[in-house]
Amino acid sequence: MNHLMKSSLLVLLLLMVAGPVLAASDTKTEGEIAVGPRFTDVDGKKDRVAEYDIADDGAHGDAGFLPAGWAHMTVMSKKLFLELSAAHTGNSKQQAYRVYLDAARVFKTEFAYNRFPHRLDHDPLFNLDASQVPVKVIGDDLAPAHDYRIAYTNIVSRSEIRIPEADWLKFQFTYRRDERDGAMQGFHISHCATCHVVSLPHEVEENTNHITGTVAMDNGTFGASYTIYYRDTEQGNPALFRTYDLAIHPGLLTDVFTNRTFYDQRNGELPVHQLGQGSKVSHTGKAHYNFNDRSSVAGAIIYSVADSDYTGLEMTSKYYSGRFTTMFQRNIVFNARIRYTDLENDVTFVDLPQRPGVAGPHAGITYSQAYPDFGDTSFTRFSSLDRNNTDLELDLKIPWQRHRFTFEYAFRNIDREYYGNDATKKHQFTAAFRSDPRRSFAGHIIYKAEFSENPFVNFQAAIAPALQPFPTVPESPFPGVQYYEIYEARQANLSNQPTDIHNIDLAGSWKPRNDVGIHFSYNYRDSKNDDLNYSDWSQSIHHFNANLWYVPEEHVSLTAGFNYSQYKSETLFTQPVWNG
Amino acid sequence: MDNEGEFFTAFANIYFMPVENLTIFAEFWANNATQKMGNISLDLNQVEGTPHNFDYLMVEALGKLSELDVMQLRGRYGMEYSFKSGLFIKGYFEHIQYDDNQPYLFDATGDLYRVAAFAGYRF
Repeated sequence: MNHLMKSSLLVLLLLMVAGPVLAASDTKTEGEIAVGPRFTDVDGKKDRVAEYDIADDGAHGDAGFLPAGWAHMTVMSKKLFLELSAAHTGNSKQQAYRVYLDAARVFKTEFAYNRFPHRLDHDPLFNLDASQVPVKVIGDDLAPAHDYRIAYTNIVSRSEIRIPEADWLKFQFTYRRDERDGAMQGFHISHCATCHVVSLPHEVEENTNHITGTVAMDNGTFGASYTIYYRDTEQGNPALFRTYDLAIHPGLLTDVFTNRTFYDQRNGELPVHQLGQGSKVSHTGKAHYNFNDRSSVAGAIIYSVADSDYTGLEMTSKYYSGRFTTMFQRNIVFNARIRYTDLENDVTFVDLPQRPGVAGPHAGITYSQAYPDFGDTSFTRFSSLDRNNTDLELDLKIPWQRHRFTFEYAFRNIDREYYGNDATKKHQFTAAFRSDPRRSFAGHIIYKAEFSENPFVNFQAAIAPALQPFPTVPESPFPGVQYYEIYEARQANLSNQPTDIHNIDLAGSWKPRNDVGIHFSYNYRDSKNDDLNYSDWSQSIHHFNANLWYVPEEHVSLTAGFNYSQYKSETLFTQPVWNG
Repeated sequence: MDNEGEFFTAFANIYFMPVENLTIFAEFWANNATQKMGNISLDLNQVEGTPHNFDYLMVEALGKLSELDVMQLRGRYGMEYSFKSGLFIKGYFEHIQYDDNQPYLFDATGDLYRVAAFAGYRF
């Protein structure tokens, strides 16, 4: 269904919904409608200045001059509330519609349609052409004039039904569809006989459907709900098909590297630049019980499975949570929350071919036969995502003269089944003071400190020692140090996950008179990891914000704001160097 | 090595009714972002051997590959007049300026100019 047909059906839907409501005698209607010409011109590059704007795109090429308009209407009667809105820029790639209907709170429905363009960058690959002949790096842009962009469409429909004789029960249904169509820049890289980077357009036709259904009950003392969610992503053009270059020696141009590669030109066209396609199903159950007006308990269970259409691999997650809340004397509130998460990602065997050499010193033998301590190219993939997380949170809220103190403690244990030796343990302490919000000057100050043992680390990530600081004699890649020996000799463990975090958050609002108000906030976060074996990692972030509104008289209003953020990270930088 | 970034956003809106039924408005915002890597250095006394045709001096310039400096300004200025019958007219001029102050591979600088005029009805 093309977008003109979709737009027409939407207008028809709006009229069908509005008609009966308008016909009622006790109806109050208000709104506005406007149309007019809009002229746009762009100098220079459009990709950033008009990243989400149709700019000067006409229906047929650059026109710059388009009719645009908007309409908004609210219709109210004793039992019905209807809200309609529409906006169109004259180009079908940028338009938006919304309908909201509430029928005596028995039936509520909302429908929204939103479409807008997204311009993407075009990498010209100018920086890749190295000139050292015969060994070189080259980049080829096969469509240098192509204008990459995606048209994004979002359709949402939400409905809720309540039965008047059983108002403790409700049903909800949501359908959402996301469409992306257009073209993005696809890349693929051939190695050996030059590093050769090629880019070409990849036509995108992606559709994602989300369906959610909920049944919920709440009689004031006990409440429970069940929600099922289904998501499906399909690609109309999942991959490009390209033939790789011939994998031969880049200097001698001889066919001596066959046993170091899995595929090349001899394998014909192969899929490259593949876009994701898969589905997800989740089931959520929630319940709560109020013992009295001071204490309550709540819990939730979520079970979900996500899979890939290409591999059939699945990731399963199970989530359990519980919360207890009680109020003591003097309105002191205590909360306790516990959560347990179990993530399992399918284990898979990656079966890789071993091709024998066709010429040179390794003719007739595979890479594993040439270097026995390398082992097999095939391996079993155990996922670092597999884990069990346990969370415990306790907080105490103490009111004092209409202000409030809060003290919190949170603990998290991350037990990774296939990665690392020890579980990650995090302890977080928070102290906060919030002043009475009704005062002319009100605000809060929050201090948070977090300490972690064994945060996530990339083991042996960098710094191989100088294994061979002299050329092989004769000059040849076959004897001497191999790449896998360099990787296995790396010494430094690296991480961007902190062991210590200190965070302070200040915010305030000041309203000295009825015609002026100021809001400001400042946040500072300092993180570090000094448990690494070769270096420290640290990061500091400052964030400041201020907003002002001023209405000096009935006919003048002013709003202004300022936001500043600064961050600095320090880490080890390593540049591996080898020639071979 | 350190990686440093700064982001700055400011906005101001003013609405003025010099006479009844006439509103003049001005909306302005500015957005600036910079990011760079720095303090990359190499002690040649610690280097064992030099691969063929490799230039260690170029290591100092590695941070330039990721240096970003972007300023974006947007202004919209216009007026709206409402008639007693419910009809109204509205017009505005809009300018968006995107300055790429550290271009790499291509200069992303661009300017967008827009003029619009509308006639409408309120009920």
